[in-house]
Amino acid sequence: MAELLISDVRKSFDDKQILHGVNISIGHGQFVVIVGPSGCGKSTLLRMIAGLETITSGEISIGGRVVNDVNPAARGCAMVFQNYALYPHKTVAENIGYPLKIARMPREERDRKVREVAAALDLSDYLGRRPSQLSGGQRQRVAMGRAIVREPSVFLFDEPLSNLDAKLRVQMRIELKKLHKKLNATSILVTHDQVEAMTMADKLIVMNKGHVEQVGSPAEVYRRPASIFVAAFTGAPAMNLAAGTVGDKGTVALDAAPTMPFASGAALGAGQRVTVGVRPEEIVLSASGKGLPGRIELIEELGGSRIAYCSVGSQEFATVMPPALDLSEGDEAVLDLPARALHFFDIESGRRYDA
Amino acid sequence: MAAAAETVEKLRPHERALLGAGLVAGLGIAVLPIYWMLLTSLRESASVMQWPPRLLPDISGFSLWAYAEVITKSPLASWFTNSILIATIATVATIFISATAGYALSRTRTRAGLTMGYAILVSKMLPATLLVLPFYIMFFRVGLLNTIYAPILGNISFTVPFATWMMKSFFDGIPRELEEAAVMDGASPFRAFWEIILPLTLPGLAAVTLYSFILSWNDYVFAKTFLAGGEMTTLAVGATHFLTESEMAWNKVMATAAMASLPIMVIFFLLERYFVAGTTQGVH
Amino acid sequence: MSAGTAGLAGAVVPRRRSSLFAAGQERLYVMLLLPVAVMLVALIAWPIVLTVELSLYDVRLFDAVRNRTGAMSLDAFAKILSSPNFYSSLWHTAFYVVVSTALAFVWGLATAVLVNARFPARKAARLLIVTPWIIPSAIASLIWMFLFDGHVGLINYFLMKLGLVDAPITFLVNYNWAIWTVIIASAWKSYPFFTIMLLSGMQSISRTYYEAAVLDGASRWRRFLDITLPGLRNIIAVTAFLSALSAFREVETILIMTGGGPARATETLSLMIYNETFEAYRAGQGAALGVIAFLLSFLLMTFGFRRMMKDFF
Repeated sequence: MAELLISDVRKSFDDKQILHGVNISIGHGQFVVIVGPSGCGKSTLLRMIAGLETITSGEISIGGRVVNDVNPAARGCAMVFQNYALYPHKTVAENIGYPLKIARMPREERDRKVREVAAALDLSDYLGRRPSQLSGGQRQRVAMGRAIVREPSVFLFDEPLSNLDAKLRVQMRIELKKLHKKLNATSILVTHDQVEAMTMADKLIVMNKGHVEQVGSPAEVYRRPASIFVAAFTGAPAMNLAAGTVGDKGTVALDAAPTMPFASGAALGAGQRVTVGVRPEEIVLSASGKGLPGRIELIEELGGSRIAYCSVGSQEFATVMPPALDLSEGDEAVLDLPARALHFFDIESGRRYDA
Repeated sequence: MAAAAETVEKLRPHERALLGAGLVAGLGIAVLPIYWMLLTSLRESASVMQWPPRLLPDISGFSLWAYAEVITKSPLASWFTNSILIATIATVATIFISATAGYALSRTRTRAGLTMGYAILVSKMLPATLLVLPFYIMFFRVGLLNTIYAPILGNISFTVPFATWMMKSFFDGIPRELEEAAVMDGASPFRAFWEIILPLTLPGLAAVTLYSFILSWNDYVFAKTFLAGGEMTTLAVGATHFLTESEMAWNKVMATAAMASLPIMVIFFLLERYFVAGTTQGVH
Repeated sequence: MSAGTAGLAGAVVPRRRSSLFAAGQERLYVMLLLPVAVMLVALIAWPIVLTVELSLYDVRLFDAVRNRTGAMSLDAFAKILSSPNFYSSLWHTAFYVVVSTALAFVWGLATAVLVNARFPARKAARLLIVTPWIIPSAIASLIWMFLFDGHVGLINYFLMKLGLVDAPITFLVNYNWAIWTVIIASAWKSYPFFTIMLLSGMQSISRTYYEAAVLDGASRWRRFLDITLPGLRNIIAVTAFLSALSAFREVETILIMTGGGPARATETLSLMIYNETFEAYRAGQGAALGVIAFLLSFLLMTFGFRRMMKDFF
């Protein structure tokens, strides 16, 4: 049975609708990441699960119980806020122990639990400090501690890593995953960072403009993006997208390079307009051979690899340069787009055509 | 001129001279009247009425006669008590009303709440002296005239609107996530306000306390109009009692004036930073 | 569900009882707004209604408090509008408000610029410069009365020392000079408000503008004109508006220093209301004047209102 079930949930502020019927089912112990650009409704959805926003229509149930009208505190959710929302005038111990104090847990038991949680989070030495005396990473851990101490059935994270610097963010990402493994509680994390989303999620939910675009494992989402939006949102650099026309016998001609139709496995009608997508790492770049003739406009050095931005007619393609390839900016090159690596999307709706 | 410019560019000699002259003028205008008040209060009647007036303090001529006279022969103690009671009670009421209202106004998203905000804003700009007459009639009818509650209520009508906006801007500076976190932790909305948010606005409460205490302490019109005079009045009004048709006892006036303004000045010098922060925040 | 929460829910939500966060919060807000609502009704709205009601009876104060009002009429308004004193008080009000606010602004701006410069003991200087702000205005008025005194006043002493006058002037009872005494006393009391507001405004202007201007070779004076003043525009507008409004309703200074005299030379609208009511005991006419002043300040407010709104919300 699903731990958390969101069925046809809608939300509007005044006359503006920001969630248009969201359906999600989350199993017990899963680590779910909701990802999307700012304004896509992901934070609102999370706050609705928490009970901080009213549900305009639809239903949210946690552990089989509909919680639409249930108090935030009674839902069994704990939340870690983007700015941590630590109580500035309370010490670390008081911050972590606040939910227990409200629950009227006896002082001794409370102290013991706070110490336990602090030890697990490496905060034992800071229990007497105030949040302003802590580093960003420590504040983050206090916020986690305040959530853990309640032993909730669902953890909610609202962009918890975005206030940390890049190095710490990677480290916290790993700690968060380890913690999840240990506690094995259902977790939902909201982020706008697709790398964060890819690396952390058991299950990825991509949202855009109040709709769920795709639900799946990170690998599924990456390999078979359900729409142009998902294709362009995942991967760095993002998937190359070009308009084209389907020809006879499973071929397609790109608008930018009409001279060179190429084979494709997709079953599409001849003459149909489509958007063709291909991941940069799938393109085979070479000095000569078969493929689209292009020119290297710019090479981006990433240390371990290099990204070459090539123009083919009026179309630009990002490609990963083979390490051995000795070409530089301005050189002519050939781009081979393997048929099995091509994705086809409806040019109007942006939905994927399946092979 | 601008703080930033000074870090790059030193003042040139004529600019330094200009700055010095300006400071002398500025400080002179600010301080001279207060200096003259203190000096006059420390002089005997004859030397007050002397012409030409002596600008510098004459150590040998110093006298506490005016203070002694005011303290022993006028109801100064009663005036003092009234001033303190009126200012304190008005301040406590102002804090209570403005802290609750300021929080609600800062957080509410309902139309009713916003309308209330407008109403308070408008009343803040009302000429409060228009209210003296209807207050007089209201207080007469309910028997509050010539009690300290009349000026207290008058002062509250005056302090609350501005204090509410001051508190609102302090609450605006506190992220909503804090009470959301508290509610997630199981606190009731009121508990979140009382236990988490309110302690964080201590500087704001300090500013409102100062503002309403000073304003109520400084009131003249309400006390003069609603209180009978004699013993039953405040320091600010009492000071004028020494100016009569028969005698202009300036040293007694200034002794009372000094006693009315010195406590306020001390409080202000100690807590100026809260007061300034509150005023600029309330207006922004 | 209370009326207050209806606005949040909007048209989409079916209204039902819920213990949800948002609803619980809004209920709390309504409760927290109760005290201020009581205050607004009892101490602002009701007095205004009472004033309007009273203005419709040309009644004496003693009768008004005992609710002996007689017949309703517009006599009080008629008497006021036909009285030359009313029109001269309008003129005095305009003169007093404009000149004292202008003086306070100029001196406030000058002192703000001064104490924004860097010099030793700047903090103490700042404190002293704004001291007049917290002196009770009754006390400030008494001090200035003494300074303007026609026999032993310090101002006469200085003027004679400088050779500007031959004999002391009795400023407070001089028909032409009296208005200036109250203007100066009130400007002295109100300039620190400008100093504080403008200083905080200057400190909030980003340093980068000045650094860019210095690189462009702009002189100190040019920087003041091109960066400081434009940066202060909103604050100046709001502060001047609030200050003018408080001059408009000011009575204490004039009441103490001149009582509106000599021969009504310093009688502003606010003071005329007070004198009519509590000196002449003509409560009906005082209330009618109050209604007129209320309408005038309402006009003044709608002038500055949009700007205020923009700043507050």
